[in-house]
Amino acid sequence: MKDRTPLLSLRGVKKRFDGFEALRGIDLDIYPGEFVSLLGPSGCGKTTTLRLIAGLDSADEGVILLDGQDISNLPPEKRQVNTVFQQLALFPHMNVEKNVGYGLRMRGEKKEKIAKRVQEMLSLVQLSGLEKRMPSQLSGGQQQRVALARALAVGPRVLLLDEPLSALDLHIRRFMNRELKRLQKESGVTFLYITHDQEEAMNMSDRIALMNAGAFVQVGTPQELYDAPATAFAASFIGQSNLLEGTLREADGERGILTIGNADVPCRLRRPASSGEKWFLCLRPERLRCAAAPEGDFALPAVLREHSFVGGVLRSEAELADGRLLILQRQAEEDAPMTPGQPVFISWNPETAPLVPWEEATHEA
Amino acid sequence: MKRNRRRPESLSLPMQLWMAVFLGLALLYIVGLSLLKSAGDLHVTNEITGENYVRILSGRYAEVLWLSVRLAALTTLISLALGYPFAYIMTRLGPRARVWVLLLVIAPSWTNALIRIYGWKILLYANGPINSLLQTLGIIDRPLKLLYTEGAVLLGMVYAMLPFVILPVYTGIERMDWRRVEAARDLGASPFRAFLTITLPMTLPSLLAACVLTFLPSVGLIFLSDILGGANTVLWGNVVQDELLKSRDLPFAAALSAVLLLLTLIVILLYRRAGGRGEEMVF
Ligand SMILES: Nc1ncnc2c1ncn2[C@@H]1O[C@H](COP(=O)(O)OP(=O)(O)O)[C@@H](O)[C@H]1O
Ligand SMILES: [Mg+2]
Repeated sequence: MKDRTPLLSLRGVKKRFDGFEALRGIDLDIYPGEFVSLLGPSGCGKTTTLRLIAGLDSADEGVILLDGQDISNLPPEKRQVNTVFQQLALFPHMNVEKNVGYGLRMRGEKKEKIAKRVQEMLSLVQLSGLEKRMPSQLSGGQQQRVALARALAVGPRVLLLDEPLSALDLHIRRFMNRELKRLQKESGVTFLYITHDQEEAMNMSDRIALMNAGAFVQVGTPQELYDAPATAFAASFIGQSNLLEGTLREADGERGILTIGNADVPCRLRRPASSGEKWFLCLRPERLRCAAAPEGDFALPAVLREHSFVGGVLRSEAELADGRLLILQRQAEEDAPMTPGQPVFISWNPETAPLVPWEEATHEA
Repeated sequence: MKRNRRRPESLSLPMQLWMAVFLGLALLYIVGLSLLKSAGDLHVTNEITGENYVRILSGRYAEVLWLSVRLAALTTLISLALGYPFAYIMTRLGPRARVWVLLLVIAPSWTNALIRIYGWKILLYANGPINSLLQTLGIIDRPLKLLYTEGAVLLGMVYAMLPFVILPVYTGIERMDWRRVEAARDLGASPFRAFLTITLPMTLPSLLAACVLTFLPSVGLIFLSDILGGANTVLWGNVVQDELLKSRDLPFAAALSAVLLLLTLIVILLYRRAGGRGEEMVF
């Protein structure tokens, strides 16, 4: 993927609103045919990024390149990117057909060509037959599809989607997630998808650009972000994690020993680290083992606390000797029944527990 | 969506009663009066007749009605042409500037309308400021006849009606969701085409409301044509006034009023046909 030339690039893009720095210099390359998500908490600058790409706002610094051409100073109508807006912004005085054909009419296409393209788009989003409906006569999910068809009809190089599903119910949202992914594959259009829902981003994206407070925290595949979070924020925003603070006692190449409380655990060093440093150990709940007796080379003694069943999965909390709580997740049938209050031993495969740079205040996702 | 906000009908009952008594009954009274025979000097007989209407159809009244409607329509058109861009620009101002401009639009209505029209009269006199200025600048040799013309009446009407365009249209554009205009630009529309295809249709309800709010009062204005038009510009309102105060023919004046009522009804029906719901008239 990296050897191709990027389709869309952001270089050092900054944006201020009355002195408030909404974007603090962001860089991103998006390659043809990719599905990239811009993921981050509300207010981190996702919509601002998208508006700069679409040309609805202008950047204070930096450039935006489409196919290597600087488009930073082009008005929105001259940019070959189209947007599905967060509030959809369908035209209320036009029926479905007119909404979807709007961009083609503005381009001065012939009537027959517009009609044909509109039909294509409507069948792609599975709305054939609703041509004459007004937007107000459609359900939320259908309006969503009209907005999608309208933006795709023009044939954008990159389709920008701003939390297009956030107004829908959870189960329709998950359904639409799959639909969107199918649509993206079928159309071959490059998607830049904005969301604050990490599950959505993990499910759909080829790559995720994780954002916080106007800057990118980490850009990578969902797997990379999950397995090797770059910061404590990344570890807690994507999936669930237990972050245990420890001091590196030994660092020898890739192998290290981390002291957590008064227990020593082995760990894998994926980046330069030296002994004496503080690190977080990121433990994913489903990668923890919990046993009544110590197994293997090491184990943290703990006491089992709460239990709860969520969809065939048993979630429990274990309290470590120093009072810290660990979240565990196990398949319900897998383990011997254990009861709250029971002493247990927690262990894990050191290969699957990454170290994350330690920082004073940790973020809660 | 706005329709869902409809309050329970019963809450508006006192209001409906009030309207029925003071408006409905009064109008019915006028229509009833118009069907009676005059006994002169504001008195009536109890003989029912249609001759008041026959008189309207046969006299020079068609001409007067045509002039009234034409002037009102022109007033509406000119007020829209001036008021719409004005309101549009207002919505694009910063919040502070906006308050000041809004104040400038509303402030004149704090003085009596009559006094303001006399102000125009002074400006338009043969030896008034406008003619003096034009003469001083050497643009004209002799004073122009500005006062007592149709043009003067039109000017006065536009002046009086402009706020009734600016306010509803301003509210309409202000309420509009600009993201739809952005969506249009995103889909390839130039600023001007986005205006024509999105902004204009979406603010059409306020435009229709402005039409009604301008046209209807314009047809009935009396003192304006008296002061600025003199004897040269006789409008429907003047005829009603004359019949009532000079000829003292109550039933005939009532019949003339009933014609105005019918015109109003037609305009309102047209407004509703065009999709107006009256919401935009409240600002
Ligand atoms: N037009 C604006 N004027 C002032 N501040 C703005 C404007 N647009 C966005 N912001 C601020 O910039 C930050 C990022 O906003 P936004 O990009 O909309 O966040 P997100 O889409 O990630 O929720 C927020 O703090 C927001 O308040
Ligand atoms: Mg947003």
